[in-house]
Amino acid sequence: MLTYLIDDDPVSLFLTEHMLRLEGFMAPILAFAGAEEALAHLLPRLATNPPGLIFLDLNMPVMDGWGFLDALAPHASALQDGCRIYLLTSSLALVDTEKARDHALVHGIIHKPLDEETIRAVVLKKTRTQLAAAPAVGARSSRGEA
Amino acid sequence: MSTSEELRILKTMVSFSPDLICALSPEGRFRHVSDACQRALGYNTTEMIGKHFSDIIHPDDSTTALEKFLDACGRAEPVGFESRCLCKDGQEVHIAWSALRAAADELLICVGRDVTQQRHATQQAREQEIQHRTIIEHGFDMVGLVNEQGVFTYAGGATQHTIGYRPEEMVGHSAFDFVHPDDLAMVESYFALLATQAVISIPDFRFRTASGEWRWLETTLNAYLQDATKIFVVNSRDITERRLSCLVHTEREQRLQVLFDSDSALAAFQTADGLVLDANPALLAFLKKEKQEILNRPLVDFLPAEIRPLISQMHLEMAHGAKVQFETKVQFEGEKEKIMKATKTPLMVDGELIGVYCTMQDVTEITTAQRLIKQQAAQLTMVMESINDAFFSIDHEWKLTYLNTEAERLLGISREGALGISFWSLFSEEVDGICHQHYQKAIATGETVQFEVYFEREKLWLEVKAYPFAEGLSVFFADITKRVKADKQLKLMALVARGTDNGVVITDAQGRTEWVNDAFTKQTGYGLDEVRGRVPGSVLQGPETDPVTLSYIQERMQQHRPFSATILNYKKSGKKLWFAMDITPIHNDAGQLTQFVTIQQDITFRKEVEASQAAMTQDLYRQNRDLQQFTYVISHNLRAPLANALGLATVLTKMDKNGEVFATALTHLRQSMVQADDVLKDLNLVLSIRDKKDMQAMEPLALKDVCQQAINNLEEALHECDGKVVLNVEDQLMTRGNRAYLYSIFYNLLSNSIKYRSEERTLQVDIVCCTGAHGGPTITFTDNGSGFDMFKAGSDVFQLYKRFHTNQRGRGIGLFLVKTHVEAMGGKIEVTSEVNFGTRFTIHLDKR
Repeated sequence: MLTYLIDDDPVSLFLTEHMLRLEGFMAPILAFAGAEEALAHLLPRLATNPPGLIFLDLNMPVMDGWGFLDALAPHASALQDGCRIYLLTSSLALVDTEKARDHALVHGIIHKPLDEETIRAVVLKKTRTQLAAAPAVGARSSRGEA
Repeated sequence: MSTSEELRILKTMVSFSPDLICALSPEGRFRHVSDACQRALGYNTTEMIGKHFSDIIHPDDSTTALEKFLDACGRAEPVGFESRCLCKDGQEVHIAWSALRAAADELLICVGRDVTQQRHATQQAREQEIQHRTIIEHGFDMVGLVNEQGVFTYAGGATQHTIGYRPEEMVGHSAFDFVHPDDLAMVESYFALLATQAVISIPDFRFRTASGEWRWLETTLNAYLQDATKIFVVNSRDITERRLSCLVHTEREQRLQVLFDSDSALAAFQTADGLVLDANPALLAFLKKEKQEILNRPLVDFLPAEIRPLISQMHLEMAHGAKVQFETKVQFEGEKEKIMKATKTPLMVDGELIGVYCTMQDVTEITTAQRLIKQQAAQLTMVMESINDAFFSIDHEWKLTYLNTEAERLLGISREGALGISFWSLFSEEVDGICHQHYQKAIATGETVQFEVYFEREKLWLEVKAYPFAEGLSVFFADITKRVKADKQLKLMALVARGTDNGVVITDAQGRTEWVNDAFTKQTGYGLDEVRGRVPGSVLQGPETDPVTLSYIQERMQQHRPFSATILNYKKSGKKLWFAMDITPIHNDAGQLTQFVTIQQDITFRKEVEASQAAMTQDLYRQNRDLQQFTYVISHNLRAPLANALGLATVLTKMDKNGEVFATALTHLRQSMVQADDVLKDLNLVLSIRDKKDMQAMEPLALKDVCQQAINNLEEALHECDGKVVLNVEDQLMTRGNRAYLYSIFYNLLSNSIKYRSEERTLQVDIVCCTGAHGGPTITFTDNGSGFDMFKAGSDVFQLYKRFHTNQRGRGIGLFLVKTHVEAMGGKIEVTSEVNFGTRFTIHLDKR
């Protein structure tokens, strides 16, 4: 399952990629430092080689995560089934959480850092409703660990 | 014959003689009486013998009779006399005596004859003559006789009575001498006619009277033959009076004729049947006819057919002897329609219609004029009724002659019950009151009076104007109760206005000040003398007075309705003054705007509180916004490195400590911690600027120095990229603020320019500082760098941790700090940018 990581923070990209690998995630991972780059890569491949999973950061310069989603909106039908998009953000702002819940393209919001349990839930293809609940658990446990 | 025979015969003769034959003794006693004595006097012979003569004579005649008796005694011839004798039965008999003394003896022979009847006849004749004379003399006619030469031989009758001459003054004089010279020829010619005619009448001629005046006489002469001589009985009558009255009559007739002829009305005399007897020139001219053409023809024949029935109708009505009159419209051929007034006056003699006097007059103009007058009168009435003022007029006896509806209403009386009634009997309580005095004055002086008075009966204040005129007094008045009340209220208001702490301004309708109260002066510093006649706004408004408010006030004042407004004014000292104004227009009874009353409350304190409240709100808002910003900063910018560190810490535990990735992760961990530390430092910096904002010392700063210092400190970086800065600062341009902030502004902008310079060209930065339109320094900072998309950046340009470039490592705090510093010094910053072209910041600072 082709996976996109979109984040302007190289540390975050490094961390996410290694966490996935450490949890045994074998599928190819493509990392993008900006939303525009990712979009440029994705759009020509929507039909041929769309990603099955996207981890999207919200806070990025020039085009942020919401901008990326807006740009994808016209192609929603092509993505609908095959691609799950997770917001991966350090933001704890309630606005973002609520906005993510209502967004048709977003499967869930995951608060950084990405932890083992969340990876398992996302990768083991849990149902959408279960997935929606999972990040909250993950976030709580992460904080607990911190 | 024998003597005895003769004696017997003689005796017999004496015995049978109708005459009384008596023989009386010288003493007067009867000795012998004839038988006739008994027949005449009733005494027989025996009774008579021995009686004295005087016994039978009427006492009144006895003296005369005695004288005659004595006379006869002394003479030889007979003496005749007459005396009344008394019969035995007392009757009077007239006896004519003849007495003779017989020569031989002493006896007196008296022969008496009864002449009673003769005497009576004579008496009657005499009485008759006296009667005639009386009649003649007391009648009107003068009677006289003239001979053939006209000389009076007798004058009598009323002559003396009428013309003053005694008969002897006329007899022997020629009648012609008395005639007026002018009439003489005429009289003489008539007199000549007597040669052939037995009777002539001489008409009116003048005759001189004894007093010398002329009288008009009328004379008839009858010729008689007397003793073969022709004499004329003259019968004259004074006709002066008749003559004069006749003259008067003629004159009157003439006068009437002149009237008839010269009457401008069309006039005609008609018979009872309507035939024309005479027509005046006006009628003839009107009908265009000669008199002959219409005489003895019916008048109606000459009138238009349509009025003939009417004329006939009139004629019938008039037959009863009444004068009839009517007006009608008549259309004569070839002329305009006219209104004719016709009058028919019957001429009645002894209850019988003998003629008609008919006049017609063209009254078109009069009728039109009358109609006009009626219309005008109607109009006048309408005007009187329509004027708002009440109106009445009174004559010199104070009687009401006119009263309009409004007057009825205000006075509470009705026209029917009041007209012709004395004003003072209608309003007896007002006698000797104010009205009375004024009206009397108006009438006495002939001058108009005007006054205000309280009319107790209807509880009204009235304003009265009375105009005297020839027939009395015209009085106009109006109910001013409202106004009087309003005046009272105004006075009260003025009282209140004086006492209040609020400023009160009264202006005229044009907004010019008429009055201000003391509070106004206390508030603004301007006295009444300084603002009277001026529009308050022109005195009080200043540079910061809101033009929108002014136009609002102007607009509302035009509407003439009360309104309120809040406005910034300036005291005389120049100090700001906030007023809450309540502006009320004042109207007079006619609804015309007369004044504005403005009550102004000094709300400067409230405004200040409001302003500080607004500032506080603004501050709170900013604090709140900053808090949100902080939340965001914490969730993104602070938590991001921490989350990374957390993740890395987990990852590190699972990695090969000797592997290359482990070293990288460790480096990342360190980097994340540094990053978190930077954010904390930034936050501290920002918070410190904000907190110190109100406490920091504001000092005068020379813009050129501070800018040059920032440029010097970035000299190295500029040198590396061959960048060039052109600084252009107005001489001595100063601002007031914190040196570090100003330095930070120049430093951050310039380092941004270096950081985001275009790769395609060498950097050039132009810094221009000059005095801007707002009075303080304006800094324009322009570079030719890569720029950014204004549309995408939107309002985020100056936000903390917002970045617009991915290729440079910026934290997104530079512009945030610039803005914070500018605002901390009370300035403003704006930006314009174009991708691949450059960016320009414009900063406005406070002066000095």
